[in-house]
Amino acid sequence: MGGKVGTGFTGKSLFYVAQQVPTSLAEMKNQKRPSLKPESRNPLVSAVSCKYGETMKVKVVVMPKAAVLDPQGNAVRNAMRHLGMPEVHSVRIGKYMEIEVDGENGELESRLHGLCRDLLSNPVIEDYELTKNEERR
Amino acid sequence: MKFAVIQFPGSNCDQDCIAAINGLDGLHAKYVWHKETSLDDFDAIVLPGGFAYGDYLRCGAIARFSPIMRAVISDARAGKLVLGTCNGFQILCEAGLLPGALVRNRSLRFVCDMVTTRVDVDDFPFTRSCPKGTLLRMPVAHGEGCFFADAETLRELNDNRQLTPAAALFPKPIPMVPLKTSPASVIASEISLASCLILIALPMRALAAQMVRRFSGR
Repeated sequence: MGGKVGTGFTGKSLFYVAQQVPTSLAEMKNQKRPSLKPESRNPLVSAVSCKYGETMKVKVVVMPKAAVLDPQGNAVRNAMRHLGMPEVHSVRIGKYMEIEVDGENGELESRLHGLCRDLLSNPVIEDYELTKNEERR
Repeated sequence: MKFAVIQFPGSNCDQDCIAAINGLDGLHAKYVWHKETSLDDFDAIVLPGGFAYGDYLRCGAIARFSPIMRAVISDARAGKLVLGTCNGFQILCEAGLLPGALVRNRSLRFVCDMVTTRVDVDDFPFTRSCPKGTLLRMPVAHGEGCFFADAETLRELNDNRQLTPAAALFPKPIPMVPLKTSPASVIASEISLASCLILIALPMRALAAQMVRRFSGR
């Protein structure tokens, strides 16, 4: 039963678990998921579920530009060579950020790009790459 | 003459600035919290050193969005005197008031030392009482003080004599400055933007007698 709760701790499945608790494994397997069409949902829960469904996960990688010396990367490269891997040619160190945003649309994404340029990276010394995670919560 | 010393959460040279400025005749300095929006009551602005917002993300990256920065930038463009030292330099670079950016020291070490700077421009408000060629010794203390700009910007700054590398002043290396390990990190950059004096060095600390005595042996 505990496992069932753990399969998806989202707004949608919380509602589902609260409504019908399976008593055996066989019953769990045979169970039909309730329809998630708007008319079949509890109105109180559906409002929340919609919001949870629209969380956008964004990954931003900020790297120093090729022309900018990366002393940290060089130090790590040297350490790797000393530790028995003389093949290491180059190490560059950047930043990786995971961002969660409520809602999902092109306008939000373009605003995110604006903040990537203004705050998350400095265009003089860094490049950024923004990737959208398609998986919904 | 009234000076505003901007306090960001994490500034730590603000008290040095206040003490240094108030110690000079005719100058008065006051703290201004970074949430303020106007600097109309002041004749000059000081952005002190330190670690504004803990240097999170990049040095000065979050501080540049503080409400006071809008007033700082518009007043600087209008010709008000602005002195940015250390972290203040980093904030002004992030704010786009100056070209280039400051990156990690090449040595990867925090440099805490004395550097020598040379006055190249004597018709400039901050250096008016120093004849051209005057050498000024002052402390530096920074981890991200390596000035970076693309080749064209650097050439432009050098041609206008707005950038004074400390290392270029002496034919032989000064023992106290680790020239070989981090040439660019000890550049005491002096970039003038009409009325803006930007240094990675901390001149206000040179006013404390015990600092000068300890480092210069005098």
